[in-house]
Amino acid sequence: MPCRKKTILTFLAVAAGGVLAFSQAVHANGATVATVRFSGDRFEPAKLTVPANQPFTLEVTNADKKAIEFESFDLHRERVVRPGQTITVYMAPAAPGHYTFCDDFDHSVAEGAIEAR
Amino acid sequence: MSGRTRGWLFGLAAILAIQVLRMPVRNGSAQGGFEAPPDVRSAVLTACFQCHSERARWPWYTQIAPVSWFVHAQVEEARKRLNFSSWKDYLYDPGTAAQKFGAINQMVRSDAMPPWYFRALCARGRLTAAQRAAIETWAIEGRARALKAEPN
Repeated sequence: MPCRKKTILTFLAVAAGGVLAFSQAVHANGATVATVRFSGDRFEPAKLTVPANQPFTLEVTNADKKAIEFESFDLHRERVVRPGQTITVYMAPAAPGHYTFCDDFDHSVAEGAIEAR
Repeated sequence: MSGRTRGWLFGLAAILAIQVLRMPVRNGSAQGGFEAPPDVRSAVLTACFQCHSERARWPWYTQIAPVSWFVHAQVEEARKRLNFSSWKDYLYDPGTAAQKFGAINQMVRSDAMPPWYFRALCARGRLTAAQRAAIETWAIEGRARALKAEPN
């Protein structure tokens, strides 16, 4: 096999592997995985975008020193997250729209938002 | 006109005036999906659904300010915290379901729910000891099932 052809095939194989690895990171069991981290009294990112009308999971990491209660009244979710803990929140398909979430233990913390498009 | 009469007239006028600030009576869409053993379901339907569901009844006195303001605020807050019309949605996430079951057990066990003013106004709000025990057992078992399904 000519050297150039071999290089191209290797490149394609690596690229395909990369695409596959990326899609598995984004989609687990067919559902989109979004992540949010709580630290320094705020959610990061403060706004998430997820596909509408599809189930998705939200991984919430509490990197702060105090427990939080991840709460979305709009999406009917309520979970206590201990310091250093990461939880997985399973979300049902959401209609296109804007949904908020907050730390229900501390209402001075700025709300976050999930945009379903 | 005596001062006392004037006071009553002023009070009456004030009550009539605040009727302008009406609260919208509304029940949202009821998705349903609340399932429980018959004894638990019956107790929850009668004692909890008035505030914690989209199937609230709105008697005449809930249309008169300032009672209407209080009742509407209570129902809004109750629905935010626990809405049996969204029960199926809670179960979709085992972690949320575990917390809801835990809160129900805690509230009923501590006698915090139904609230005293609802029990005072409405006979339906008074749970018997057997009904309380049934709800507590159901909530404990439900929480255990949810925790088993939720690895974190």
